Amino acid sequence: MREILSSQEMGITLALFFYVIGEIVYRKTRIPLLSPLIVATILLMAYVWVIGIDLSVFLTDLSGIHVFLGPLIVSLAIPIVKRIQMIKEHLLPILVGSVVGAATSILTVILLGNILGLDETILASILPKASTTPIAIEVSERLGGIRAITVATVVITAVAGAVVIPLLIKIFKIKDPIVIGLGLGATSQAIGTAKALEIDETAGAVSSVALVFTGVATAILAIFI
Amino acid sequence: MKIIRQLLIILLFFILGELAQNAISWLFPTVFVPGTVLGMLFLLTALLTRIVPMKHVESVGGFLIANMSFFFIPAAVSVLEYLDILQAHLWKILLIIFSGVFISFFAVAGSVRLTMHWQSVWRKRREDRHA
Repeated sequence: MREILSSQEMGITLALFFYVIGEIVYRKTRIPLLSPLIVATILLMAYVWVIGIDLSVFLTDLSGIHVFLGPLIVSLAIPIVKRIQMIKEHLLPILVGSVVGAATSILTVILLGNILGLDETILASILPKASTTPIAIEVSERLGGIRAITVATVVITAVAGAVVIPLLIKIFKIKDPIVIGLGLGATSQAIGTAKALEIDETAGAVSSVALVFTGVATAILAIFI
Repeated sequence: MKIIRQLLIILLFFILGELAQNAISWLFPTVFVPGTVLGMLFLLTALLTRIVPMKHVESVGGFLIANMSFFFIPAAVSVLEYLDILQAHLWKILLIIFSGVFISFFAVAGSVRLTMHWQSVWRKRREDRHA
């Protein structure tokens, strides 16, 4: 029984199962805090706790899923090419917004992190928080950060942005879909893009492009750190 | 096009990126650009120049991107291993995240608006000159 409960196949099956549940929950509620990744993660953590399997064994069971992170980043070229017409029309604002998004996020981490006295490992882990998760993981590991903390930070940032920014957009009566798309995409990645799409189709398109550009900008800016 | 071939093309670009990263860090030891990002830029170039047609990567790449967050599950679950570190720094990390959201949003929205404003001013000037 233990052998069935703990194997790579079982790990991936469970991850898929809980992710599907997460997708259903998100489709019904549209609450950023209940995004499929968060729901699946919490359910998997609960599973580890209830069944009482060794965490490091379970993480090895899940590790097969990691293989796709690299190909996933490479594939980010596809949405860019598909929206190349829109990008050409608004190239300058998109570039400016993405670089400003990446730079302000990194600067906030460095400035506040040093004021609050965070150690280097934590700083490195949260530094690429504005970037899309796969690129953030690469940057964080290169700077000596901890992968898990990076993912948690990126997800919390994205959820916070997806909750707070639509409110700011309403309060400040921002109507321009380019500004909305960049405001969400350059700060809250995929979860923000889902929100942007709910607001306006063009905003969603801009946001999906901005999240890739912000990731690349983060990777490039990290060279100088 | 067939799934296996699409996967092969995407993985080839991934490996090309890793090779380029090795070459760069050999030439400039202090510079690090993730190989995956380089692989993405190579695929971008290949798609834009139509060396690789979109339909040769579309289904597999589209699948990966549409279900992106699924692939972060292992890393997200491994947060359990670092609960003590996270707990010790939680409020500081949250403070940085939330102030970052506000700062970044206003900086992005402001700079984008300014850029678009300047662009329209320049465009108008150019039109006036031509008129």
